[in-house]
Amino acid sequence: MSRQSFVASRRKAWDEFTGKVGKLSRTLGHLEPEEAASFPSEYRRMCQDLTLARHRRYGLAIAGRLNDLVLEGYHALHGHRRSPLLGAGRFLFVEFPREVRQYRGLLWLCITLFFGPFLLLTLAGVVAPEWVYAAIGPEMRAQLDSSFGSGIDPRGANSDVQMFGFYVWNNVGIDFRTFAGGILYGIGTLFFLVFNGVVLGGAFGYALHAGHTEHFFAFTAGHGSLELTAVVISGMAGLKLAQGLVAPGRMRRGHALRVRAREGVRLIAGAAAMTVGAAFVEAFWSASAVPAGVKYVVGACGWVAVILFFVFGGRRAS
Amino acid sequence: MKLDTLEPVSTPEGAVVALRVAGPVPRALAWGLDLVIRVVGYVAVGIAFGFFGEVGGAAILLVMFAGEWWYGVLFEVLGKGATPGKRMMKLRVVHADGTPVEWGASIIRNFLLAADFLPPPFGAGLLAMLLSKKFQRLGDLAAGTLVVHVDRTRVNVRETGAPPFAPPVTLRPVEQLALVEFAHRTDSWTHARRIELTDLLEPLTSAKGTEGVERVLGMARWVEGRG
Repeated sequence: MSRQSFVASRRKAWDEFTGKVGKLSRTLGHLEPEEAASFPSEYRRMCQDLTLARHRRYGLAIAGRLNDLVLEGYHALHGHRRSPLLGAGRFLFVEFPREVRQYRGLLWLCITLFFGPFLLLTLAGVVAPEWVYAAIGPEMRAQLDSSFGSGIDPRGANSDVQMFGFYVWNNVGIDFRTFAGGILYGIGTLFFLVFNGVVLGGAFGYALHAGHTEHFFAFTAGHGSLELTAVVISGMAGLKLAQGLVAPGRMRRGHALRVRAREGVRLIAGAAAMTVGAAFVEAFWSASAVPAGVKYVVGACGWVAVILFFVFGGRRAS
Repeated sequence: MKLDTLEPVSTPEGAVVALRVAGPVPRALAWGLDLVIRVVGYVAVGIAFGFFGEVGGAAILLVMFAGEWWYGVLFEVLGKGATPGKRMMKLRVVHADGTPVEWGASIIRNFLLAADFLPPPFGAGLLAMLLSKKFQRLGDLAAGTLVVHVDRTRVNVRETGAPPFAPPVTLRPVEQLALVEFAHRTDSWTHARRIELTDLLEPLTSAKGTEGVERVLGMARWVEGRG
């Protein structure tokens, strides 16, 4: 069969199929039931035509057009139309804690990297304040003084809602950067984990040293459990990327990176949800006028809840 | 050796489709267009919500958060693989197997922009693109995605009236295809260019100039056969 007779016999089918994929590629485009019923078989005919046109060397004019048609049909037929919210509940409450538990070694590594400097600098606030002064600069100390000094309203003029926006923007952004830093052989992630541990630990140490304990600890008690745990899990997500690059195991490095990235992106999704939750608590609860004692109790309950969640979460679900 | 940027992938139906992988320049332009769109969006939202005081302030920060981290993800997954900038540049993000990009991969590649951007602008990303065979930046390598052209440049087939002319030797299939492609595109060149090209085939046609062009077109006709 020559090119011309091939085109003549198939052109009508191609034009029809072009119309259908055109409809489907439009936003909210869909086919009528009778059109949709024949779509898969027509698509397979397009695949066949493309292979024939290439094999018989009918030229790029035909093969190029069929290539585009097959690609469009492929996207229409094999595209995913799953909503991300489908299964979000199960992911957050069953799969996410399971996966965090599964990467136990990584979890302890990140806890050490973050809480190590954090606790050391908090302790330094009592026994060796010069370390705290080395860790956080005069601007941050002045800011802490003005925010948490005795007799000052911790939030000042900013409203709760506005601070919620800021906490999401800033804190979730830090989580995402910690994750992204993992692609640089983990150096970025290590930096963010240790850096955040040093700065936050320095702030705690300074609060102890300067005697801002009442305001500072009452403010941080409520959201600390969610936020600090999310920092650690973001670190795990970042180091997953690094694991693919540094320790690919039996896979090729590129393949290992893709597999680990798939594991890491689930961790960062969970961590982001936790940080948004923490931002909510921080904005609407932490600076509220509730007595400090109540805040301490709630904060302690938060830590117990987070630890129980990650120890037992999703164990019983099928 | 591979000369072009075509990336063959096979569909489950057994057909091999070629993806046209996009290089750094159209992608940088698409990114620039997206940046302009985002900045215009921020300014518009800033003006609109500026009147709402503190709630407005929160809304602006949330919009910026969404814009910086989720703009690419939402548009790529919900908008057939393309952000507005990519759509203007006729680009699309797909998985390496040609399927439309999904949430997981899109989140990975868009979040890793933060790493690709370093040192600014896009030092790591550009280096990774130039070193990888499929122009993948770090985010693409981790997500297993490609950015491909979707433009439909068409070859307008011109049916030549040249009389069929049998080639003096048996041509290999790729050589036959080269003649056919030449005949299909003959309208897109000036006559001088046609002559320049067909003069290279003098050993085959034993003619130069217009006569050579006619013979090549005739051989193409002969190779293709009659309808």
